[in-house]
Amino acid sequence: MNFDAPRTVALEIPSRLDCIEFIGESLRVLCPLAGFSEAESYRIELGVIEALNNVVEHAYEFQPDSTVRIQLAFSPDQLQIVIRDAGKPRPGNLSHNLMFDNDVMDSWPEGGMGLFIMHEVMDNVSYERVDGENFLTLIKTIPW
Amino acid sequence: MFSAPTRNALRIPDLKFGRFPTMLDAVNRCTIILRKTMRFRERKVGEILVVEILERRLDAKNAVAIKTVFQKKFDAGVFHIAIDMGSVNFIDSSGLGAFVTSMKLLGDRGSLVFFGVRPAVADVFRLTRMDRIFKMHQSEPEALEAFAG
Repeated sequence: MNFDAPRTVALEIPSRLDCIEFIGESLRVLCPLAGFSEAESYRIELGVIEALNNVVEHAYEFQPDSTVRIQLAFSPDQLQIVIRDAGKPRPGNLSHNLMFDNDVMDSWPEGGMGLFIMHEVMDNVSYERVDGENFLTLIKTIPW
Repeated sequence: MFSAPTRNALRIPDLKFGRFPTMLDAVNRCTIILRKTMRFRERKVGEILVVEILERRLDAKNAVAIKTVFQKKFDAGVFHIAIDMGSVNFIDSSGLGAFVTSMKLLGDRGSLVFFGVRPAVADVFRLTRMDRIFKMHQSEPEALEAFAG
């Protein structure tokens, strides 16, 4: 199915880790319909899951009764995903690098890989804080 | 009976979410409980413990449980473990991080190797360069062979 006109899907979940899977499974169904391969769809799912984990863990600090809104906008050439929450703002100095030495066990990362993964799997990642809300925009180009 | 949702919930008239009027209600009322355990099966092959993970997803909700499983094995003196990843079709950085923590807990006392890793999951290991840290084998015999050699 080729999308000749933009189509938007809006989803909303409570800020709970056990509800994030619901968005992942939705992407796994929707992305192939928009022209992404199975491997690309998996990577999109991964990028979005990492973003949602960060919202629940860092922006909302595990408060379960808040809301995370996800808007998926499929257009002929790209998928734009906007993740919106009213949690704490993201610190300004976050790095999305991943550096470790294979031979030095202490340097192996046990966390903090989410941002790196998001930047790796998406074509563009941007963050804005507007009127007390966080807006994270992820863009993936649809290959032809 | 449920009152109309006060939040601006998505309404999809053509889909049914059980007895819930909207998808949001369905998710809000779902009874998935944050998993305190990771489902797995285990068996001994000589000195090696083969742990077959029975979860489809290894992610932020069960990352702590993953670490706990391996911590308990190490505490019991089991240091050579082959992990069957055949059932796992999604892993995120929290799942990966749980394996890194387990490796650090184990240290140089033994080894933790994987087999049967699905291509999409292996892709995440490669993406994060974790494929350089973890040993991944095609099959169980190959993994067991690696312990012998």
